[in-house]
Amino acid sequence: MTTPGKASAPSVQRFTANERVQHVLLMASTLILLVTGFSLLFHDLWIGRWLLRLEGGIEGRGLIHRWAAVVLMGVSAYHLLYVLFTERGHAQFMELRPAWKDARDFLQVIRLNLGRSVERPIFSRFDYRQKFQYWAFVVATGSMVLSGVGLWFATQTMAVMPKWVFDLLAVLHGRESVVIFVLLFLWHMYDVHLRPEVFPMDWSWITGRISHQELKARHPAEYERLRQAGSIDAAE
Amino acid sequence: MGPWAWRLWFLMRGSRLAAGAMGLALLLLAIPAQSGVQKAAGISDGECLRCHGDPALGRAKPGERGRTMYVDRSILGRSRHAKIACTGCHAGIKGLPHEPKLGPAACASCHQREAQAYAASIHGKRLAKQDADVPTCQRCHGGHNILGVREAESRVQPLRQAQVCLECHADTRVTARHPEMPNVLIIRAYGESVHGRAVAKKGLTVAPTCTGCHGTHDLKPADDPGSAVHRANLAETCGRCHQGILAEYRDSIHAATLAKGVKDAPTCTGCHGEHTITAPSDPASKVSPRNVPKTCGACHTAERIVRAYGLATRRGETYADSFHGIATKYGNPEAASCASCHGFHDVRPSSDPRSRIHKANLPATCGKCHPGAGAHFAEGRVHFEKTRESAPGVFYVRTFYTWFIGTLLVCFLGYMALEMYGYRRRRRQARPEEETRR
Repeated sequence: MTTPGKASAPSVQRFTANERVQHVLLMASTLILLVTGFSLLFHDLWIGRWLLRLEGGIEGRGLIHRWAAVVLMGVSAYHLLYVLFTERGHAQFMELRPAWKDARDFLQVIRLNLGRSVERPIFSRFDYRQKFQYWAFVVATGSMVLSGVGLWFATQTMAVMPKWVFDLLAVLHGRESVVIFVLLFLWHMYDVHLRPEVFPMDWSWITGRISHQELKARHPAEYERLRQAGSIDAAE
Repeated sequence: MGPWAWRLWFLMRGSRLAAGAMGLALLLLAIPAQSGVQKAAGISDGECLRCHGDPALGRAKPGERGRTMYVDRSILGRSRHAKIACTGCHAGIKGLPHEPKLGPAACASCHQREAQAYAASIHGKRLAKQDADVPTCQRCHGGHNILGVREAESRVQPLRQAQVCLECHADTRVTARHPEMPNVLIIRAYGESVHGRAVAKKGLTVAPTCTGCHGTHDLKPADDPGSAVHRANLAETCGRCHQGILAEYRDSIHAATLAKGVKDAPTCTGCHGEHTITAPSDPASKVSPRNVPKTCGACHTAERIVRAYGLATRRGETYADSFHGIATKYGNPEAASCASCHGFHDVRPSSDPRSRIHKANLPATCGKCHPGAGAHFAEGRVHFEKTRESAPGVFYVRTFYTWFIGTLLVCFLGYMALEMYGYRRRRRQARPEEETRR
């Protein structure tokens, strides 16, 4: 399994420093937004009351929530520019596009786990789990940003839209946060922490690197591509 | 009038002071004239004091019950009644020595209106039933030391008056004998109220003491329709000082309902509390921003009242779950509570065009906090139960997410279970001997 002191093992860069900073900012802002949001969503339960006290009451909570939202919107906007205007970002985005192969890979994994097949899918740079995670987060963040801004500027929102639209935004914002929570803790955390292949953690989000061995096991197509390009010594 | 007065009159004839001087002269002459009238009763003060001026008269010996019959002339001389002869109050003395037991002082012979009011009061009615604990004139006003209500040393002067009532009403020996008397703790709470503090701490004589609200000689219990604090009269009583508020309240749905004889409709104390009344700025006040929802909710979320009077249902609960409700609950004094939108004393139903929550007035009402609030603010209801009929948009979004989140949970957990199953299965196949040993 992966361990932090893998510097000795031959490895390749998987994420640039820029991408890792984007991820950390996204992670931190999302966690803060979830905690400060849930304290409002569950204001009737002990957890909500306890969190609200911790966050400095209703005003402190709102302040933290909106600053975290500014960070999230900032990193999202940066990511958009990164994807549109940098070569590296654009290449990563192209790798993340969903394809029919992902559906076939998914079905193949099910067959493999049920024992109906012994053939492992040949994953490329990003497997279907990671692509699903990325796109689910794009959609969720987008809807949260839109509804959140509408709630933040309540007066302006209701100046142009009827009150019932505002009510709808409030419900949407609250329920979508639960979707994000489920997505993070039952999908992403499982994918990068609990899966036997990576347990206890896939370190690449910190080190930015992945060992040749792991790359070959988890992303064989990417490994093959890098080997042919000469980035990886063919002797391995 | 003596000849010197005529001379004065003659000298000042035509002057502007003449009228005043005449009045003064008449007043000076009236005093000896009055004492002359009293002397006509036959017994002079000097004759009384021949016995009652002796400090040793009838003084109780140690351990002996009884009181002194000594009259301290200096106390009497400082009192309001300094110029009244002994027999003016102690009537019924035919000759000397007088009967060993005289009746009570004849206050009513001068103070007729007060005596009538007292006779109709709860104290007077109790006295008629031979209740020995009931206060008579002297118990509150004092005896020979009696002073006017505005004099600083008077027992019934506003700054000291509450203490007089408390002598009996906070005395547990008295209240134990009269279980119908109000609770001592309730009465004591007055001291911490905005009124009690205004009197005791700020020294305001305009703030009400006990008698300010309950009345003085005519004091009656709150359930008596003639009482100043009966629910039908209370607003008028508070309104004697709070005139502007009374005018607003009179026009409210609460006052109109109360006037119809609905006992559940609130008057002043229904929302503000009675002896515990505090300023809205006090966090403990029943009408502080944070407590307003609880105070209004005491009726507006009470099932009995909501059902009996056909009030809108689930208003309190849905408010509590709104952003305004949560912010108010967690101590944001600026967040809208009930009164912020519905009004305070002038609360009126939304169907009334003068109501702050009438559709035409909503942009202005919401605009107090949301500057620039337009007509859109009035489109859609506020703090109502969101059902399929009342809010289809919200209802379907909620239903969608309930199913969506449920499905996500099942899929994710199922996927995890499947991968774990496959992993264990492959490990068993790869190392069968290791698995069987375990």
